[in-house]
Amino acid sequence: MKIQRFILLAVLSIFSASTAAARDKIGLTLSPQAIGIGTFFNGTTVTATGSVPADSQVVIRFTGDTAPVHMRQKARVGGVVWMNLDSVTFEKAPSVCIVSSAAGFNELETGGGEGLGLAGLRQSVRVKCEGNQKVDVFAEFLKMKKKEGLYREISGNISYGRPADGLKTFRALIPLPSRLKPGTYTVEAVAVQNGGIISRSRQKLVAELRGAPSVMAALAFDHPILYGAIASFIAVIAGLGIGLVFQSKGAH
Amino acid sequence: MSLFHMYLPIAGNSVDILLILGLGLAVGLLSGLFGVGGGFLMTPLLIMVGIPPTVAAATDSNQIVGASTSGTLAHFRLGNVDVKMGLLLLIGGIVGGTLGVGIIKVLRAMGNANLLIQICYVVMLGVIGAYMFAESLQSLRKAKKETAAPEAKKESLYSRIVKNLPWQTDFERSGLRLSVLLPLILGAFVGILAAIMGVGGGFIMVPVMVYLLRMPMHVVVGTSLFQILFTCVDVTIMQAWQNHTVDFVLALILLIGSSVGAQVGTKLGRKLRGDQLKILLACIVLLVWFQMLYGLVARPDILLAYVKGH
Repeated sequence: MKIQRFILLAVLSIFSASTAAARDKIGLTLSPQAIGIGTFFNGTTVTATGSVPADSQVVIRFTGDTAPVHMRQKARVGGVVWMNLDSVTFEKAPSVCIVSSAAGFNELETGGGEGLGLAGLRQSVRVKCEGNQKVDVFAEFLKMKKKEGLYREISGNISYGRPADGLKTFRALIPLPSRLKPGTYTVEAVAVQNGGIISRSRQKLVAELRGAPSVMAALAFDHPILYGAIASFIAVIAGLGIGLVFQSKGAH
Repeated sequence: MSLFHMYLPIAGNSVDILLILGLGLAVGLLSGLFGVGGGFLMTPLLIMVGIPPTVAAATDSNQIVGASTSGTLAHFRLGNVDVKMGLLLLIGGIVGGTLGVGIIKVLRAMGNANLLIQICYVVMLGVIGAYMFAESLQSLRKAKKETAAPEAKKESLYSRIVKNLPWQTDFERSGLRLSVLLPLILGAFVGILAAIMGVGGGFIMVPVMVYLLRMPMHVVVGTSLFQILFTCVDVTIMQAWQNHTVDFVLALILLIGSSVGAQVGTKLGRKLRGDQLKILLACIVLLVWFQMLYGLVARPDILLAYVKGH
């Protein structure tokens, strides 16, 4: 009898633990599941859907691979001209970082999501300077990436469904920039609750060149002399064709 | 996705096709109006719309290949091309162009390629703009008063040096006797600048031919175009090979726009007087010069730059 009770208790505790774990887990589905960079690509939108515990907030991070970024600090020379001087390397900086949150980012920072926004990159990105840091180079780095549209913080692009069984569904629309390079990206959904991160889920997303851009890039990088010759030849033919069409007398 | 946007894998960005066509059209219009290649305006405009400077400069050379082809053909039919002079300038231009691409490669690694392009622009645009402005202002004033009889000019030091150079030869089409060294050296000088600045070199080559080689004006335009065509083919291949910075789709869109603009500009130009045209061009050149100069001396928004120029 004791043994039966013990088995029943064990089964119940495993069941309740797995239910709680299931509630804490984030379901994450991406659409589309791959990004094609074709001729008319001008950025795209990825939809991330899933479910999080009903009383939590979800933060979605779209990040690219990390690689060292070599830059130079601009400084005034001779009090006149701005020149690129001391080199700076940013290590472990993602090529792209787009953070989406239903709540505002100030609210997120105080609500346990500190480190998830762009400011949090300061902890993970290593800055190596050749000379003295004349300015806050990390702040300048963030400014540059934001200007390029590669780093962004977006609030209000996540909507929630009605809570059921302790969970609520979410739907996030992640706008991707036109400067997106081919590569493997990570989409991460993070559930934040009561001042802390309670769960994370990750999916990989591949972006690849397709169609004409793919052929052109392969030719330009694998057979550069042939590419240059073809580019010149096409320009000559186009010039002749346009000249014939307009009976050009050579305004250039 | 938009039908009006096109992804350029070399520039690594998407551009608005209509905007690029419009740029081509505007520069082509000025080019048809004033009889210049327009490269010196095109490269800064491409930089302004977000094309990396090194890609803008190399792609512009590719665009000029097409633009100068039709012009060379038309002038060749009219007998305005001094092939011998053109070939010597071309040999010098190829050596200079190759040297210029090498310089850009080294400077890109050092992170100062864009600075060199800007400094070249500021110096060249400043000198040419100021000279053109002064000259056209002078001829506008002269048009009002009749000039006195021309004075007999003393032979300059430059003329004496040119006459004493070895390997003098006849250039029948231009009606000149010069050393073969002179077009070779001047061609190399223009080639270096063309590679660095991503221009055909027309706006440097034409004054060089008129003032330093003393060729007749009708032969200058045809021969300059002939030389520019081949120099730009060389620069395009070298830039594609060494720096992977030529985007021929971008070049083709620009070419279509500039060819149409040039036709419209040529027609408009016939309605204006030469002096008026020159002073207008001088103002545009000086405006671009000021913009570039401001970019060099004003505090940049961001105090960092990529080492590879992208």
